[in-house]
Amino acid sequence: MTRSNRFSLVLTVLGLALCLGCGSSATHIAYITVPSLNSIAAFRVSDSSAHFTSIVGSPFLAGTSPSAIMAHPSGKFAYVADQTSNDIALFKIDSTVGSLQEVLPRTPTGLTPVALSMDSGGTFLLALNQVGNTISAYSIDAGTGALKPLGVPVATFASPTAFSLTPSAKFLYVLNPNLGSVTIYTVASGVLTQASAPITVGSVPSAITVDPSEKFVYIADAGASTVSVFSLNSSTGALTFLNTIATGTQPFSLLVSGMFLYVGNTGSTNISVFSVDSTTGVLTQTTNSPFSSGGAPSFLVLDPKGKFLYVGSQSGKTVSALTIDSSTGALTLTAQSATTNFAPGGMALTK
Amino acid sequence: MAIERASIHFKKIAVSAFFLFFMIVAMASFSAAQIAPRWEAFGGYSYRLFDAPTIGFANRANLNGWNAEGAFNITTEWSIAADVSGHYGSQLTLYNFMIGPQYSWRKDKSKFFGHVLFGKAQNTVNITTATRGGVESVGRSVAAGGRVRPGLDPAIHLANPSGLPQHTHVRELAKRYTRFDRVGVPLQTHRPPSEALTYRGHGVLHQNL
Repeated sequence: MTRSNRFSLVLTVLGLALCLGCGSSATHIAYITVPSLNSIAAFRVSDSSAHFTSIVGSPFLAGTSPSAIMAHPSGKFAYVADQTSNDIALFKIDSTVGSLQEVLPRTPTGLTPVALSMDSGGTFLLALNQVGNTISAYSIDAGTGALKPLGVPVATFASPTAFSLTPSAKFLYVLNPNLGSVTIYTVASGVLTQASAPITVGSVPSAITVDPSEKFVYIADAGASTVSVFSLNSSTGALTFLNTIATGTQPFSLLVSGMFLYVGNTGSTNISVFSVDSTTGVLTQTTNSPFSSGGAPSFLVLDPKGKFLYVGSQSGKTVSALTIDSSTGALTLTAQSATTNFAPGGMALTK
Repeated sequence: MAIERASIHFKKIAVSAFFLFFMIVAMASFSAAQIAPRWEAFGGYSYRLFDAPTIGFANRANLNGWNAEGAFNITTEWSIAADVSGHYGSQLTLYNFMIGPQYSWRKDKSKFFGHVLFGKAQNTVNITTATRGGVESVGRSVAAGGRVRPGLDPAIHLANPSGLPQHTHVRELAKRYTRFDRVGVPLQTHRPPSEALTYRGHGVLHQNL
């Protein structure tokens, strides 16, 4: 064999060796705020098994007492509301590793930002300031992720705790538990205008979510341990009461996925699952509901493939993965979980 | 920005091992007949497949680098080998420093040998966070491997003793040692210089301190 043929054979062997290293398993990344540590824990999660692998460098420092977190639809940025330092931290996401690098300076908000919301296009960000009784709105720079205030913060009624933006980004619903009410705002490219007086919706409204088709709004009541269904007027955003159904004790989180509504019951430490009639909005509890959640649920997040439900538990200091039966909505607790060592505040996923 | 450092205790062990190697070199006398050379050296390109998903990467990392090894033959069968390698990727830098015993079986002009090496693995992930300019991990390395050095025309002996292509042999090592694969191609041959090519495979286990 000549020297050149030998060299070619060497390259072939090396090429085969390289190909043996090719291929990858599909994954997504989970970012979990840990308020007690002023940090964000990052995990790479298997799409098929929900196995959590800690990302090198995690946890990443954030501001003081980070709570709500949102990932930009581009997967390039993450935004974290810091409750005590009253600001929003912007992070760049490393596309290879998934690590976070903060971009300073942080953006001021009102007092005690407890929730964040973003339109599906990632063009504006809203922050709900519970103590300040305001909503701050910001435009998002597509290239840098930088936030720029959109006017002055808009006033809300006393002590708002949660809000939900419709998928079309036309309406925003803000919960006021102290008043037992919800207030409707119209949204135009991130600019808010109050559309109506507060509407009474229950004794202690604790969570709110809009279904993906924008036909219904679901509101949990932690005082009555119920969830109510309202129809949504697509022109005005007005809500019309349809029905109420009992849940487990102290529902504090809601999630709609496909034809099912998931309710996290903090008091009874389980998750109620309801099928939704797409025409009438009537809720029907599924067989064997409620299901074990692996700890008192404080937030519910759906994985990008719709295969798993991630349940954050402040008492358990974990985020657990539950498989979803796509035909029945039934939940099964898996062995996969992420341990945060302290109570998790919120969670965001990238695809 | 600060980078995490290895324990001082483990650094002392590694330095001591290298000093012991050089002491043996200085004190030993070559008493056997001149069947094997006193020194053998190897150096060349090295490819490493790094199990990066275990630290949160999406995919395994293909790293290119270099490898250098020296062996001091105490007898015709037993040697002490020292191995140094560096592998590089877009966000990963890996260095290995190992030493250990090597056994050789020589027949005619051919040589089969295996060794078990122990030492230090220094890995750096090049990410920047609020508090660090990179994340460094220093741990133990254990490597077990072997080599076939063809005695006649290398073209006839491109396969390992089992008759399988060398890359399959490397893959089998990877199944036993869950971390790395490595394939090396030398730039400089062993003495005598008539052999043009050798192939080597290693499994390397990295354990964090």
